[in-house]
Amino acid sequence: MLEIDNLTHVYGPGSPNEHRAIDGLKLSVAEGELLCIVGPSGCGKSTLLRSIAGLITPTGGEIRVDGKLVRQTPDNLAVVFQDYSRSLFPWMSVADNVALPLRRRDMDKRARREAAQEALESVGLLGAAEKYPFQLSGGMQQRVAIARALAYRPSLMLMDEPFGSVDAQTREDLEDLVLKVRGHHRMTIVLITHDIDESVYVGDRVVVLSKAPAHVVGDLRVDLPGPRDQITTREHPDFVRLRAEVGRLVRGVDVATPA
Amino acid sequence: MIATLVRRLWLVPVLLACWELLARAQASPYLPAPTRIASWMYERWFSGPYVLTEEAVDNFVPSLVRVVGSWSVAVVAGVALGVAIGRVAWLSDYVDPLVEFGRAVPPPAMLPVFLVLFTMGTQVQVATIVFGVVWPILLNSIDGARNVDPLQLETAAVFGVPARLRLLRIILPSASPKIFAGLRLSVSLALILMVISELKGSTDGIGYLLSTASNNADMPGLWAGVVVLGVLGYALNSLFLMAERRVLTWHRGARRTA
Repeated sequence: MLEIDNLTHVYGPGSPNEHRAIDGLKLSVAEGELLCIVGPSGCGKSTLLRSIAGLITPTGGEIRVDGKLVRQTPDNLAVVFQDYSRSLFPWMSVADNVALPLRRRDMDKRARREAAQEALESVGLLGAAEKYPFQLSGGMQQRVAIARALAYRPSLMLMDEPFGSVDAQTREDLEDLVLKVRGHHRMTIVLITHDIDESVYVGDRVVVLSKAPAHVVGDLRVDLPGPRDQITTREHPDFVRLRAEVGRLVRGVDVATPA
Repeated sequence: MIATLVRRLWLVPVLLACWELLARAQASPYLPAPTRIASWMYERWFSGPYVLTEEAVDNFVPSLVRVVGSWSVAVVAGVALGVAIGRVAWLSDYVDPLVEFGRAVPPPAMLPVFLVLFTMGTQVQVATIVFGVVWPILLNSIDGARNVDPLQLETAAVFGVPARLRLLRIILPSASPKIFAGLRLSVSLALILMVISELKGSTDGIGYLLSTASNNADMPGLWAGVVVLGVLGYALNSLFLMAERRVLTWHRGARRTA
C-alpha cells in the first residue's frame, strides 16, 4: 500500500546550515495495517510524514502510495495534524469543517452533509455539528479533525503526533477512538508519535527511527490479544516486554550523546 | 436600558441648554442658538410632503450615493488587488514600491488633479474618495492574505480543496479580521473626502451646502450641515460595526478562548 524506498531529505542543501533530516529510509506498509512510527524528538518524523503527504518534495528516493509515485497529495490520503487549533478552520462550524474536503468528491450537498454527520457520530460529536471549534475543548477539536479525515474516506490516514497536545485522560480516549474507527473503516493508518507506550498500545507494528538523519533502527510486530484495553493491555507481559524493547531502541540511539 | 442611555447621554442636553442660553444672551448672528438651527433644518429639509423637502433630497442624496458608491468600489478593488498581491510573490515584488508611494500621498492632494482631469461633479468626488480610501483597505488585505496560517493552506492542499474554494472559504475568511480593520478606517476617511471634494468640485451635496452657506454667511445653514454630517458619520459607522460583528463572531470567540 505504502512503499518508501531510500528516502532522503536535506534542508537547505549546500547552505552553511544544511540539515540532513532523513537518510536512506526504507519502509513498506501493508494494506489495512496500523503502523506507529516512534523516534526521538527532532528526528525527522514530521519530515517523513510531510513527504508521504506530498507537502514537500524529498531530495532523494521514492514514495509510492498504491503503486503510484507521490508528487502531490494523493487523493485517497488524509492527514490529522498535531495542532488541531490551527488545522481546523475557526470561521467554519464543526459540520462545515468536516464537509469541506468532500467538495472534491463527487457528492451533492445533501450527501456531503450526511457523510459529515456520520463521521461526527462515529467520533461521538453529533451534538456539536453546529458549534464552532473555539467552543470545544482541545480533545473534542482533535475528534473533529479525526472526523474530517474519516468523512473523506481515505485509504491511507496519516496522523502526526495527533495526541501530543491533549491531557493524559483525553489522550487515552483518543487512542481508543482510533482503534475503534479503524475497525469500522477499512484503511491503512500511519501514526507518528514520540510516546513509546502509545506506539505499542495502538500499533499492529512499531517502527523505530534513529535520531536525525533518520533511518529505521527497529521494526517490531505487536501481537497483543485484542480488543485492547487501557488497563489490561498495558499490564500484559507482552506489552511490558515490547515497550521495553522499543524504549531501548529509542534510547539506544541516544547512548552516543549522553543528555 | 433607559438608565444606561441616561447615564451615557445626559451631557448632551446639558451642553445644548448651555449653548442655547449663551446664544440668547449674546444675540450674535455668528452664534445661532440650537433651536434656530433646528427650525432652519425643519423648514428647509423636513417640512416636505413626505417629510423630506426637495432641497433636502438635493442636499443628501448625491452625497450619500457618492460616499457609499465610491466606498464600495474601493472595497472591491482594494480587497481583490490586496489578496492577489498578498498571495502572489512576484506580483508583490513589482507592486510593493508603488503601493508604498501611493499610500504616502495625502488624499486631498489629488483633488486639484482630478478637478483638472474630470469635469465638475460626481466624477471628481468618486475619484477623490476611491483614491483616498483604497490604501488602508489594500494594505490590510495584502497583510491579511500574506499571513494566512501555512498549516491551514497545507490542510487545504492535503484535502484537495479546489482553488476557488481555497480563496473564498480559506484565504478570504482568514484575512477578514485584517481586512475589516482596513475597512473601519476607510469608512470615516470616505466621509471626510466626500465633504472635501464637494466643497470645491461640486454643485450639490452636503459639502456644497456648506460652501454656499459659508459664502452667504448663513450660520444656521452651516451648523445644520455639520449636524447632518455628524449624524451621517455616526450612522455609517454603526452600520459598519454591526456588519463586522456578524462576520467576525468566530474571530472574537477564538480570541477569547486562545
